Parts: sequence; C-alpha cells; structure tokens
Amino acid sequence: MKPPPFEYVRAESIDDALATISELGDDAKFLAGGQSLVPLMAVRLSWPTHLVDIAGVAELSRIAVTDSGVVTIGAATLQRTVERSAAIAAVCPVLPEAISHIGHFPIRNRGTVGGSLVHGDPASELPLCALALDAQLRTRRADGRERVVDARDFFVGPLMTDLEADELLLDVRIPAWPSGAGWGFQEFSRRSGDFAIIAVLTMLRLAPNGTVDEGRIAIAGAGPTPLRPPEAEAMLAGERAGETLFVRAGAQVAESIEPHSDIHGSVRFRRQLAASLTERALADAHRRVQLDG
Amino acid sequence: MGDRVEVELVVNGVRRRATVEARKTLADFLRDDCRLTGTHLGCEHGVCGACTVLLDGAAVRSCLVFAVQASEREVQTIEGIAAEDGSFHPLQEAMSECNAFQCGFCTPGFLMTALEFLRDNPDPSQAEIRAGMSGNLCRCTGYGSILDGVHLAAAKLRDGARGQS
Repeated sequence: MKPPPFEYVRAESIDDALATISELGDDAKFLAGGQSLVPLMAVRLSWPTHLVDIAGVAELSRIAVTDSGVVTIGAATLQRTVERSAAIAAVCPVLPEAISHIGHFPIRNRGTVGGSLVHGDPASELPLCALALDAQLRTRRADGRERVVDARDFFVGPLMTDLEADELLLDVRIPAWPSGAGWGFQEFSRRSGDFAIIAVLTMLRLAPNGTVDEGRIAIAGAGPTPLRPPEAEAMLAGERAGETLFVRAGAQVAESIEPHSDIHGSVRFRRQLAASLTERALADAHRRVQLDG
Repeated sequence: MGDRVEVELVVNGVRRRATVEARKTLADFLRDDCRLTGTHLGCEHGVCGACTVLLDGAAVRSCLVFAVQASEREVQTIEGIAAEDGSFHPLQEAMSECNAFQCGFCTPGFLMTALEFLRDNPDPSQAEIRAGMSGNLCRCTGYGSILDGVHLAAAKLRDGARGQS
C-alpha cells in the first residue's frame, strides 16, 4: 500500500508548472491535494513517473465573487476554504452545502476544487455542482493556449475529462445564481462522507403565478458522468410547482437514467433512489424560492 | 529535485531534517525517521483515519500527504498534545475517563481529528460529534464510548477556557 516511486517537482507558478509537465511527457501528473491521486497510487492504479506539485502556486488558489454574484474559484483552492467562504455562501449557498458532503473534513482540508473536477468521479459532488450550475472551466497549455470548456462538455466518462495530459485547469467560473431561485441538494450514501450512491442538485425559479420559469435537475451516481436529464428538466417548465409535478419529474428521472448495479445497490434501487431524491430536492428548492418583488 | 528529496519540518516543536524518497508519506516519515510511532497506519489509502495528524493546525490523513509536501510546515502528532510535564491534555483525560478505546489502535487518529473538530465547534451536538468523527474507523466498533469521550472533552475544554479567562 505504498505509492510507487516517482520524481517530485515543486512548481513555483502556472507557467513553471506547464513548462515542466510538457517537458516530462504523458506519464507525469499534476499533484494538488492528492486526496484522489495518492489513494490511486497506493493501490497501484496510477503510476506517474513525475509529480508536479501545484499546491503552492498562489495564482491557483484564489476566490473572487463579483458584485453581480459571479464566482470564480482557482483550481488549487481547498474544498474546506470554499465550504467556509462567507462570500460564496452569500451568493451560491448550494456550493458549500454540497461540498460538506465530500469525504470527511480532514479530506476537505487537503482536497482541492480543481482536483475533484479533473478526477471526474461520476458520483462526486463537485462535478455535479459544476454541471448543475452551468460552470465554465478555464484551462491553459504549455504553449499558452487557453480554453474555456462548459461543464457539460468537460466530463466525458468515469474518471475521464476533456483535459489533455499537458493541460492545466486554472479555475472554474460559476455564473450568478438566478435571482429568486431556490435550490435543493440531496445525497444518499451508506455512511456520512462516503461516496454518493445517488446525489441530486436542483434549481427552481418561479413566475409570479407559481409556475416554473426555469427548473434544473442534475444527478450524480446514475451514469458514467454527472447528468442533466433533459426530459425531466423540460417537464418542469411552465408547470405549477408542487408535489404532483415533483413526483412526475422524479419518475421521469428514474426512467431516463441507466445506472449500474454493484454491491452498494441494484439498478432498481438506484432508480427508486433517484426518483425519491429528485422529489425531495425539488421540494427543498421550492421551499427556498423567493418570489421577486 | 529527484526521487530523493530534502525535507525539513517542525514536528511537535522540534525541527526535523532528512533526505527521503519523494514517495515517502508523512505517516512513514513520522514513524520511521522521527521515531514517533503514535501515528498509526491502518488502511494506507485514506479511508480509516488512524494516521490523522495536524498539519499547520488542520487535521489531515498523513498517509495521503507526502513528507515533501509538508516541508517547511508544522506538524502535531499524538505525542505532542500532552503538557510539557507529561500531564494529559483534557481530551486525553476525557477519552480515558470514558474508556473511549478498546484495542487503542484507532485512538490517536480519533484524538487528532477531535482536536480540530472541538477547536472549530466547542459546543457540538451529539449529531455534530457523530458527523465530525465519521471519517475515523474503529474496528472494535467502540464508537459509543468514543462519542461520549469527545462530548466530555468538549465540556472540559470549555471549562478550561473559562478558567483561563
């Protein structure tokens, strides 16, 4: 259970990190908090030749919140820092709530926001948040080329993202939370802090007459990446918010996902869980809606 | 740098220098190089929490931190929490009074986790204690007395804080 040998390089800046990784080739990896990578190395599923440590690069651990509520979080920002950020809680309270479900607090003390996003575990909370919140991920390569990738296009499979081997995630930008919208976050795991069996994040914005203006449903643990079931989201728009609608949306989610079966639960169990958690998360979002004016 | 690296860190107030393999975890550095064997290794991949130490005051899994990553930082281990005269920390007293251990293997990790937990939340509810300690496993399943110990420790630390003010 010891990690395999590797050479260690401490990056002093973003440019330094990128130059180093491009020189070292495909078997080198970035190391930030190490809370996903080091366990993979310990069980010998990952065997990098070099680790380029970016944890100390100050430019990568900044949080910015604009007056209009747009949140930008540097990739090496600790999950615990975001969880405790009053500025983020004020404009995007679902994010600290979802992060509080990642592992246990000693894990969040080391784990980074970018590390979890680039690890791309389909059952983990930050990819779910990025997808639900329409986040954009900004990356850079050694030749200086930058890209902005929508969360929708970033997660391509279990532990697979759109990122190239020599590409570094710089930050994640979360658009302003829609005015008056309510949120819900529901997760089921066997034990507090374990990976989600199913997690659901919802958003509801209502018209003054109580019908849904915009509704979002994002779900983790139900497929190879976090998902936004389009049929269930479409079903919400224009309908009167309430238990009947939420039960229908839950049933639609259960029907549209293709979860896997394992020791933690069968396909049928996961579908039922997805339906129940969707209903609950929509009810939570409804409770938190503030009608404008 | 290469596959062997220089590390220099302060452990329980003592400066330690060594040249180690880059892959050496902080846990192994503490046990092998510092001879501080109170930090226990259970699962060695971040699940059990037995190896929890404080790194710059924050509870971390020392099996998931390379020693080189802790370089130039401060580490506190179970050996560093009693007073200089050897008298127990209130947390140690409370755990002892509640028989909050069976074989004792997981105990150092529980105590180091509880130290940060109680510093942040001096008056926790039972549910908060349960959630706060949920990252540590006790294979003897002695959880009831461990939760009692953390609860009693919270009271002792609050009394101590009042006594000092």
